Amino acid sequence: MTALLFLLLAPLFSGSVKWLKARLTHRQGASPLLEYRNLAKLLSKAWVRPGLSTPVFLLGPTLALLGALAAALFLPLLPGLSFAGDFLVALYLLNLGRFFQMLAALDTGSAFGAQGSYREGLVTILAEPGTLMALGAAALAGEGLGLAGLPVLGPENALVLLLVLASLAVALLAEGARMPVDDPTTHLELTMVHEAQLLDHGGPLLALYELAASVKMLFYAGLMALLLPGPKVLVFMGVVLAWALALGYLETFGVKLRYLRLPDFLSYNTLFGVLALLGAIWKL
Amino acid sequence: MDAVKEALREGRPVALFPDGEGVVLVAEVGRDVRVFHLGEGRRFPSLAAEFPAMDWWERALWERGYTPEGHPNPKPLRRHDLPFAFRAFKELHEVPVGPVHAGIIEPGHFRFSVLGERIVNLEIRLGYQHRGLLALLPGKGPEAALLLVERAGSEPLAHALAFAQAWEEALGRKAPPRAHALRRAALELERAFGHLGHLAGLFTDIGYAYGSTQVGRIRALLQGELDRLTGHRYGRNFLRVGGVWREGRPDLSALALYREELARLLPRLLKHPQVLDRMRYVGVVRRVEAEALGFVGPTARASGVARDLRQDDPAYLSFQPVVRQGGDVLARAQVYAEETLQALDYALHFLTHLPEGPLAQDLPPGDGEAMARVEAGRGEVFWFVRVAGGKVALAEGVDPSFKNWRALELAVRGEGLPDFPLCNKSFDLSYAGNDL
Repeated sequence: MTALLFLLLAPLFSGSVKWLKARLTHRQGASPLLEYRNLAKLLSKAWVRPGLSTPVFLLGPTLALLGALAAALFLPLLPGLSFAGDFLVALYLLNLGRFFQMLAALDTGSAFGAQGSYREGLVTILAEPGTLMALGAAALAGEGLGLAGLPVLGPENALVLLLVLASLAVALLAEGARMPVDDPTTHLELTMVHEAQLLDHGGPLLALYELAASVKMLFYAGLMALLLPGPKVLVFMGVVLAWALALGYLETFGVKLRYLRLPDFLSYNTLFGVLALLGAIWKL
Repeated sequence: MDAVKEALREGRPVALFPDGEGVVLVAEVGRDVRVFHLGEGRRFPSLAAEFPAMDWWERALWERGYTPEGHPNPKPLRRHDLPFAFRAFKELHEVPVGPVHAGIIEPGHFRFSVLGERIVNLEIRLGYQHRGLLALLPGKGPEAALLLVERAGSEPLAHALAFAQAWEEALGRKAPPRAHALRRAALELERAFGHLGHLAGLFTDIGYAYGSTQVGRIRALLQGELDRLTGHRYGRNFLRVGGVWREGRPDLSALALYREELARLLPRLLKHPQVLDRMRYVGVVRRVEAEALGFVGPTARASGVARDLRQDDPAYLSFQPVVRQGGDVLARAQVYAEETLQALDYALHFLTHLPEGPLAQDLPPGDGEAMARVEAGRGEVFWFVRVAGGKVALAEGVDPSFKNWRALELAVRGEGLPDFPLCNKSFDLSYAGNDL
């Protein structure tokens, strides 16, 4: 159910961010609904594959989207799957998608695909421990080690959960390849992280990748919504709206970090994770 | 030969071009221009081993059938089927970029040798835009020739002005004072327009959308004023040999307004802490390098070389070049920002102090030869023209980009690969201008 919701919402989310960025720079901006038509256009196109590539080239976009959607199944915003420790499964389903995405980029044999892959690999490696520790801390603070049992923000666990939320926010920027980690609008191959992997994919394959990127961001927004009090779906909508505004602001008035400074930025994620974990254990 | 070496040691090459069986070397020493005739029988002594600034010049001539004798590494400058020279050790990873890029930009091939993300060496190969423009010029009359010259580089007005001035001087004539002032005003508007383009590009490349749209907005408005003055958004078909074709009426109060707005906006944008973090200490070209390789324009001035051809022009009163010492991307951005304001000041000055008189004088079809230099936005534009019976007998032009491309090779050494586009944009050189 949640996966379906994400799939429907994903184009609207990325379209809204684009529209907001246009408005913030005094441009008219295309309708946020344009993203749906764009996806329909991409899906109706024929697809091509580099001569030397293998079927892995196709697995990349397919598994990136399927992995993200499968991970969304575990989010109890709407009724879905749930068991103890399911947050690990959800996170690594996302990573499975990314793994095949990296393979698909390497498979093209282009220098940029490889460059995008190792850069995204580095970003993931740096972002992963913090996110895992943060989610683990949240699970420890709640009942049972599942996403369904996550605690909601209240006076007694405010410190831990705020740290978890901060960690998830950094993770969203890193995993979604948004500013200041990566500039999704750039045409400069040498500065690209995420986009460099997609250069050889076009048509329906590109549509899958674009959907996957938005679904991933919605997944993290969903995780944050789980930690906030109130009716889940409404809170989720609020979080998504807040993220659309935040991304619009960051990508208009912010500057992309130097690539070599990314470890500094992502270390905050790890720091938040460690502190949240310490806080959770200390509370126990 | 000693005089040639002396000139190159103290100054820098301005142009090297073939004339009949020999070659002509033009060098600038201090503010003087010296001309040397070298070689015979399509052979000339190479100076590249001693003066690296001559390397590209001699290789370009070699492609045109003139042999530099004793060149340490003769290889074509614009042919693409030969192996790359740089092979330090085999662990170096080579990243080929271009000539087809992911954005709609001019084609050029960049071959990086990298260790991890660090650039050890960059070799630039251009030549994809070679149109044989110089070969088309002989036999053309002034109008037809200017049409081509305006399309030589990215700065139509500067090229046309240098060419027209060379032609006028060859015939011993001068443009009327009113035309002279109008030409200078248009040139300054072109400079401001170009510099704002470089700045907007820099902001785009670091993902600073607010900065690039704000600068881009004023740039577009300025382009409108350039259109009002010259009748063309890029200033084409405005200059003629002997004067200018027309005189438009730009909105002077609007120009003053844009200048004030830029004076507030640009320093603020360039002080954004994240912008500073991206630009400072990145892509450094040191002064010794700038002098040894003969860089020109903002590239040289950002590295501490206080030379601007406008210093020699009495129309500019007491001209003070904008100079920075850092040599990094930030220094170049600051030079662009300050020169934009300076250019708008001069444009306003010329337009408010227009002398009375005709817009042009008709030149008789005479004979003669002369050279002229104009400070364009990117640096020194050079044109030499030999007129015979009112037609071009021999013409040779040099775009500043040809002199500055190697600054990029130096600037990115030791930088991270992801910072290359930023360094590239900080010079913002013309690919087409390099290949006349």
